[in-house]
Amino acid sequence: MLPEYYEFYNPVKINAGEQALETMAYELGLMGAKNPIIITDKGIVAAGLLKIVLNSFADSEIKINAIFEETPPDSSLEVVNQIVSLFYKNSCDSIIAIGGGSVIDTAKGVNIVVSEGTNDIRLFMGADRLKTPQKPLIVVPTTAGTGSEVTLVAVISDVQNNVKLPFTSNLLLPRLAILDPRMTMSLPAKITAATGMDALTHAVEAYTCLQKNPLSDAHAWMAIKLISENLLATVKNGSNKQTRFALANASMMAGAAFSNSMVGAVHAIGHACGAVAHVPHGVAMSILLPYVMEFNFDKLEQLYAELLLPLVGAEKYAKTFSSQRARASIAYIRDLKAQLYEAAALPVTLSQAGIKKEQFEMISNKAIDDGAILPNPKEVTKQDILQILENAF
Amino acid sequence: MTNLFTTLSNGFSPVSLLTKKAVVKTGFFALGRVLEYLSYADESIKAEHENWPEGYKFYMKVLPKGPSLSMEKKGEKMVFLGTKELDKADMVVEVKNIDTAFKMITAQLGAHHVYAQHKIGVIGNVSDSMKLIRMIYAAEDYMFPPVMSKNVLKNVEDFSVQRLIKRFRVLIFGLVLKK
Repeated sequence: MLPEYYEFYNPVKINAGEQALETMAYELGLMGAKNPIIITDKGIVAAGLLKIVLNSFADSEIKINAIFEETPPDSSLEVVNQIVSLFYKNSCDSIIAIGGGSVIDTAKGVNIVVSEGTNDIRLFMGADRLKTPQKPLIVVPTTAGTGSEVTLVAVISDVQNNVKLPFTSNLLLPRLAILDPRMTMSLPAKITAATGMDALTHAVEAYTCLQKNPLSDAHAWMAIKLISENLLATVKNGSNKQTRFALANASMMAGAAFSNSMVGAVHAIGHACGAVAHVPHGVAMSILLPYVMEFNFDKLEQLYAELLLPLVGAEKYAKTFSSQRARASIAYIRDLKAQLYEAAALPVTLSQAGIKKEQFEMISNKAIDDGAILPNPKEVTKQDILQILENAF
Repeated sequence: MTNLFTTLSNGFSPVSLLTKKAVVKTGFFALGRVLEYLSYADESIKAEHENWPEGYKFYMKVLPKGPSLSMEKKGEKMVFLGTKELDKADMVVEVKNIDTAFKMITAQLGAHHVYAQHKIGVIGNVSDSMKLIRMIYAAEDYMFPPVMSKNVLKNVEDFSVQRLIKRFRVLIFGLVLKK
């Protein structure tokens, strides 16, 4: 059924596949940029990925004017301001982000400051607060999970005041995303598993939350299919370029889906688990997904039943009685979690992830005020969240 | 009644625009008064704003030139300040057009749908806006008869005599008498 109204916006150009990085110099030229700053982190440098990117500019007219390699796991105002100084000092005209969610969010934050000409990014916190077209931003994801290369969101921590500042605007979307199989090859098995489950959660929630629409459905559907076909294989054999590339595509499509249709209770509770108990986002998503699906079951049985097709393929789907398909989808995800635990020690319960029962109250208080709680199709109360946490413990 | 609102929603003449503005303004007035009453008379709503500091202000504004619903925390309650926007506020919720506001106020569109459809923007703290939306839900649950509130709420409480009495109390003391 089509929604009464929907919006879908994804102008990000995607260059994907073998030697996609080598197209970057040409693309920068098209954007009128010559002197980018590269924002990345130490892990990327240590893995030799920065070198691959720099080599891709050999014999081009692009001059990398500055490189920032110190992005921490959580983007912060201080780091954004530090990079902004570097950007101005070296007369940069564009930004290349190489990394995972934190690097990409940091790059988006830097872009807000340098494009809006402000010295206080907090003025632009909230939805649709940006007014100025942003500088060219190219994103090279090195994980396959966040989908940040195609989302209109950035979250920057205000460490001093202990709050996370959300920014959402169509203007935040990068101009170009580069999906090059070389960039995710070195990802460890556990992170591959966690980020893959993050992408799966994006896709499942995008397909089932309030603003699902034909375009987000198409993206979410294919993302789920690619993840179910390739995640476990990649975790078991990380050197397979084909499956790595499939996951990178799945993550990007899931990102495009949820950036438009939004996410729901899994994310609301997962964000709170991260804030209170520092559980990595992908781990929290993986643990909570089947429990929230159980919670939403009476509202979403039909949609969960549909998802069995991309999850298990046509043959198994056809062999499953229609009345059992929704339950089979949840069972498949539980089974996938168990296999990822065996293959990469990805936690399957909150207790394994280090959460303590005493933290439930604080987690539920934060989750109920999370922006992702509202698009969840079923009303969620604090009591419901406590019960989900208890079940997932 | 619902048919009349639907017909008006689809109209584009200057008359229908004025009518929509008038209906939204009246609706905001009613919602503001009910919210004020519930902000101290209903424990669940009281809990939503109890951590907001004294003098916390917000307004919900219809873009580009529609009415607003403005409130301020004073003591234990949220006081309705009227249907004009404030010079300064801690949180601003912008409804992107009068048609969306009209549908919200006539129980054709729930706040969760409006949010999901990107038809509102929030300036300020997102978690505060979640609290506000829950407060509006609760107010709408009292203001609209179940046949209408099922359009705008994810969960409609079952009918009970107690609930009916409470609804009348809210409408009489909150809306009419402004106690």
